[in-house]
Amino acid sequence: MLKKRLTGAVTIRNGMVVQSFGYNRYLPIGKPKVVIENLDRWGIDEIFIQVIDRSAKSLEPDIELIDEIATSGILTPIMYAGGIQNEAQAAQVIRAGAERVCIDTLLHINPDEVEKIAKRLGGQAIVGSLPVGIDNNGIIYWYNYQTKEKRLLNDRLLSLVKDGLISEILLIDWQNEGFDEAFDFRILELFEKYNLPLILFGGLTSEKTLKKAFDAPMVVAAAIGNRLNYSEHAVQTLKNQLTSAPIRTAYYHDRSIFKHYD
Amino acid sequence: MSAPIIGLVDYGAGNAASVRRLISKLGYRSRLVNKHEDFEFVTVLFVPGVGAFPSAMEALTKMNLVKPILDFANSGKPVVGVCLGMQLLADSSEEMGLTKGLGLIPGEVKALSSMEWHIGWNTLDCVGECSIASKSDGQNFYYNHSYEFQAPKEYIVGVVEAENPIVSIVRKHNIFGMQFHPEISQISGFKLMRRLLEEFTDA
Repeated sequence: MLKKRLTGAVTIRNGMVVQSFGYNRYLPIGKPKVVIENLDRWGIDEIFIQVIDRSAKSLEPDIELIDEIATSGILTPIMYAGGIQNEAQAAQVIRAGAERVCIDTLLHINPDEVEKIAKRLGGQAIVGSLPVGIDNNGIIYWYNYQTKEKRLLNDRLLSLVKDGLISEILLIDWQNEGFDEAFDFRILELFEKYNLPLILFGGLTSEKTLKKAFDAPMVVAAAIGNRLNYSEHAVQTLKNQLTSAPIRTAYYHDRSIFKHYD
Repeated sequence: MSAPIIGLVDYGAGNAASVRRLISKLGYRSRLVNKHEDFEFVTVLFVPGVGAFPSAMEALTKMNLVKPILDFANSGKPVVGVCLGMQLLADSSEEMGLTKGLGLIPGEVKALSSMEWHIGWNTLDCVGECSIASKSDGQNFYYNHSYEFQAPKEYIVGVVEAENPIVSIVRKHNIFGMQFHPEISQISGFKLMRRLLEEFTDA
C-alpha cells in the first residue's frame, strides 16, 4: 500500500535554518547540512527545503546548497523551493539532486512557465505551493508572499493540477505556520471539493492534528518543521506516536553500514 | 583484472548525479557515458531517468546512444534501468503518444490504471526468484511516476500493492529495471544496490 508521507520542512533564510512564525518572525536553528543530515538519518519520508529569501531578493535557486546536501550522501527524496523562475532553473535544481521542485511565486506571475517546466520534467516532479487562509466571509484566499496580496483561487491554477502538470499541492496555512496545533482544518474542508492530492503544512505539531490530517483521503503528506529540530530521533519518536496512521513505520538502522562505505 | 567501472548514460536525465553518488558511496568507480567509445570501458551500464518517455528517447536518439546501449546489452553485459530508465527498456510507451523504446525487455509502458500518480513509499512484493531483489521483499522503496511498465509475467520480479498491482522490478537475465529510486530509498535502496553491484560486477 502506498504510504502517506511525513515530510520534514527545513526553512532557510540568510543561509541558516530558521524557526519561522507565520513567515514573519524567525529564530535561528543551525546549519542546513546538519539539520538535513539528521532528518535523513532518522528516516524522514521526504525533506522539503524552502529557501525563503531567494525570490524576495530576486536570486536564482540555491544550487550550491542542493549540491552540498546531495553530495553529502543524503538518501532521502528532496523537494526544493526558492528562486525558481524558469524551466532552465527548475531543471538545474533537479540535476543538482532534488527529486521535485516546489513552485510558489511563479504560480502567481507566470503559470505558462510552470507548464513549460512540467513538460520538461514531468508533472510528477512539480509541487505547487499554495499559502492560503480564510477571510472574514469564510472564503478561502490565496496569499502572495511577495506582494502581500490576497486573491481568490483561479481556474488557471486549478487546471494546472487537473491537467497533470502539477502532481501535488503544498497547502500552507501561512498565518498559523510555526504555531502549536494551529492548523485551521476549515481550509481542508473548503478544499475538499477540488479533490487534489495535498501536502498539508503550517501548525501541524501534535500527533492528534497529524492523525486528523492523515485521516483525510486527499492528504498524501503532512509537513512539519520546528518540532523535528529539538530532540534526537525526533522522526522515529513522532512516527511511533502515529502507528495508526497509514505511514511508513519508524525504523532505526545501524549507521555503521554506511560508515563502512564512507 | 582491472576494477569494474559503472557507466551511467548521460543524456541529461535528472537523477544521474544522485545514482552516481550512491554508486561511489558503495565504493565503485563510475563514469558518465555519452558517446560510442565510452561504452568500451564499462562493466555495468545504468540508464537513469526522470521526466517523460518521448523526450528521453529523443535525447538518446539525438546523441546516437541507442545502438551502443543495445550492442552493450546484446554482448551480455548488465544494463540497469532506474525509474524512467526502467521504462525505456520496454518495447514502447503510450506516454504523450506512442514512442518506441529500447526493446530490451518485452512490454509496454501505459498510464497507471488504478491511480493518477504513484508518489511516495511503497512495499516491494517479490513475485519471482531473483538473487538481487528477493532479499528486499517487504521493504519500502520510494516511487515517483504516473506510467507503468506492463511486462509479461516471466519478466516480473517485484510488484507493489495497489488496486491493480504495479510492476516494480523487471528482469531478463542481465537486464534489470527498477521503477523506484534506490538512490533515495534510504537503507533499503542502499542494500539492494549493494547486492546488484556485487552480482553484476562479479558476472
